[in-house]
Amino acid sequence: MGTYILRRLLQTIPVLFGVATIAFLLSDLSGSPVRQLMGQHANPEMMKRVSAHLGFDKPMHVRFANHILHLLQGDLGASISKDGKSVTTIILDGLAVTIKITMGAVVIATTLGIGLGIFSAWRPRSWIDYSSSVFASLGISFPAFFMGMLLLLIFSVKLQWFPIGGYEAGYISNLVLPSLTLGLLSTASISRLTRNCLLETLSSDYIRSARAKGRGEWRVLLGHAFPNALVPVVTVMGSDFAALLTGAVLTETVFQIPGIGSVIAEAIFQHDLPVVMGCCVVFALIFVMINIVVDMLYAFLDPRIRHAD
Amino acid sequence: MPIEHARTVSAVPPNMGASTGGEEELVRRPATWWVRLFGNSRSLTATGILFFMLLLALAAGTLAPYNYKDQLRGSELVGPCASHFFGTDYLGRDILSRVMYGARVSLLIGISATVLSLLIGVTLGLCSGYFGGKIDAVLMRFTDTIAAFPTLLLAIAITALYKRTPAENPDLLVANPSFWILFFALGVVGWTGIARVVRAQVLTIKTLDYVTAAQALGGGSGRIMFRHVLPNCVAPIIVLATLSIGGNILGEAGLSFLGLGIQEPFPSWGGMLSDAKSYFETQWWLAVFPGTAIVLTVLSFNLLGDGLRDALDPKAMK
Repeated sequence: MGTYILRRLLQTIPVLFGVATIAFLLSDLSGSPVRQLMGQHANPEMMKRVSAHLGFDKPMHVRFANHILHLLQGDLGASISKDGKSVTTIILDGLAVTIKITMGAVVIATTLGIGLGIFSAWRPRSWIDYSSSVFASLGISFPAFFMGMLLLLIFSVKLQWFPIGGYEAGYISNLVLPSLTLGLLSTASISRLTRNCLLETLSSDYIRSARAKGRGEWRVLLGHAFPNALVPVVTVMGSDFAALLTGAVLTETVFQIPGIGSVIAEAIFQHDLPVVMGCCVVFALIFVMINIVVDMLYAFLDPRIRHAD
Repeated sequence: MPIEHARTVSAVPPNMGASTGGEEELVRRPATWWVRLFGNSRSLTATGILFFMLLLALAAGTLAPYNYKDQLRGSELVGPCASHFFGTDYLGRDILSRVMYGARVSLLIGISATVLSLLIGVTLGLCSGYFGGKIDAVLMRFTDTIAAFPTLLLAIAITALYKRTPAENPDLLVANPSFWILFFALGVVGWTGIARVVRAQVLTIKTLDYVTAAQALGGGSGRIMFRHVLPNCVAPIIVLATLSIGGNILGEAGLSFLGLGIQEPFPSWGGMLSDAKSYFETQWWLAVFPGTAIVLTVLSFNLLGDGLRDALDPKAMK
C-alpha cells in the first residue's frame, strides 16, 4: 500500500507542473496588470518602476520561474480590484463558505442517491426504478443555477420555509437550499450507478449461494451485495465532489452566498484576472487531490487493485 | 452502404420468412441501428424535441412575434398573457421571441464547440493509440493535465481573457466576436474524454489482422489511421459527441449566466436567466421559460445519446 501511494503521488507531479504551466500561459496572455493597478492617469516613469518592482519587465522564462516559485509558496499573486489583497487569502475565505455548502450537498447526494439506488435495484422496472431513472435524466440536464432558482421559487417564495437569500455565519437555514440544489443534481448520477452496480453484483454466484442458504432478501442486498457494489460508487462520488464545487460557482450568486462562486463572479465583473486564474489553479489542485484520495480508497476497498498494480 | 443492405432485408415480407419454417430465425437479421433507435420512444421524443428547437432557431426571424431587441415601453415585466405568451422582461422585451432567438446561440455553440472538440480529441486519440510509446506518453500526460482542470473554470478563464467590446453587427451571430470566444473556450477544454475513448478503441483495433494487412501492403500511417482505423471507432464517437453537445449547451448557459456569454442585446438562455436574477422571486416567468428551454434541449441530447449508445452497441445486436 505504501509504495502504491508513493507512486500515485509521483505520477501527479507532471500533471501539476502542466497545470501550473497552463495557468502561467493564461495569466501571461492576459497581459501586465500594471496599467489596471495604477489607473488611467499613471505616468510612464511610475509604470516602469512598478513593472520592475513586480517583475513584469523580465523575459518570459524568468517570469515563468518566478511564477512556479510563488506557486510553490502558495502565493497566487495580488488582486487588482481589491487594492492588491492577496489572491490566496481571497480564495481561502471564499472556499471556507463554499466547502460548507458542498459538504451538505455530499451528505444529501449520498444518502438520497444510495437510498434511491438500493430501492431501484430491489425492484428493478418498478415505479420506483422508473421514476428514479426519470429523475436521473433530469438531474444531469439541469443547469445548477436554474435548479437553485426553482427551489427558491418553491420553498422560499411559495412555501416560505427558508429565507430568500443572503448569508449569516451560524445560520444553517441559509445553507439548506444551496446544498439541496447541488445535492439533488449529483443524487442523479449516484442513484443510477448504485442501482446498476447492485444489479450486476446481484447476478453473481456468491449471491446465489447466499440466497440458497436462505438469507433474507434485505440481508442479501445490504449485507452481501452492497459492499461490493460500493467500489465504483466511491469513484463517482469523488468526481462528483469536484463537479459540486463547479456547480457551487454557478449557484452561489443565486443565493447571494459569499463563497468562491461569488468571488469568481465578482472578479469576472471587474476583470480581475489574477483572481480568476488563481481559482482555476486552486480548483485543479483540489481535483488532483480528490483523484488521489479516490484512488487510495479504491485500493482500500478492493484489494485486487493493489495486488494487480 | 450497410443501411441499404439492411433495407432490402427488412423489405422482405414477414410471411415469406414464415414459409421456410425453422430457417426463419437464421435468416432474420438484427434490426438496423436506426430502427432500434427510433423504435425507442425516448429517443424518438428526444429527436422530435430537437427538430422543434432547430426549427425555432432557424425560423426565429419569421416565427417570433417581436424582434428580440424591441423594448416595448410601458409593458415592462408583464406576466404571460395573450399578446406575450411568455411575458416580458425588465426592458419590455418579449420573452417568447428571445427564447426563440436564444435557441440559435445554444444550438450553434453546442454543436460547433463539439465539432472543435472532436477535431482535437479524435486526432490526438488516434495518434496516441496508433503510435504508442513516447508519443502516447506525452499526449496522454497532456490530456491528463487539461482534464485536471474543472472544465467550466478553464472555459471561464479563457473567456475572461477577452475584453468585451460592443459587436458591430449584433444581428449576425457569427459576426459577433463573443460567439467565437465561446466556441473556442468550450471546444478547447472539452476534448479530453473523446481523446481517451478513441485511444482505447484504437488500441484494440490496431491489433486486428486487417490493420496488419494494410500495413503489409505498404499503407502510410496517416492513411491507415484515418481510412482503416477511424471508421471502426465511429459508434462511440457519435455517442460521445451527442452527449457532449448537451454538455456544451450547459457550459454555454453557465458562462452566459456569469456574464461571459454572447454580447447583449442578442439573447441567450443563460443570459436571460442571469437578467432574471434580481426579479424572478416576484416575476417567475423571467426564469422559468428560458430555464425550461435549456433543460428540454439538454435532456433531449442526453436521451438521444443514450438511445444511440443502445442502438449502436454491437453487444445489443442479438
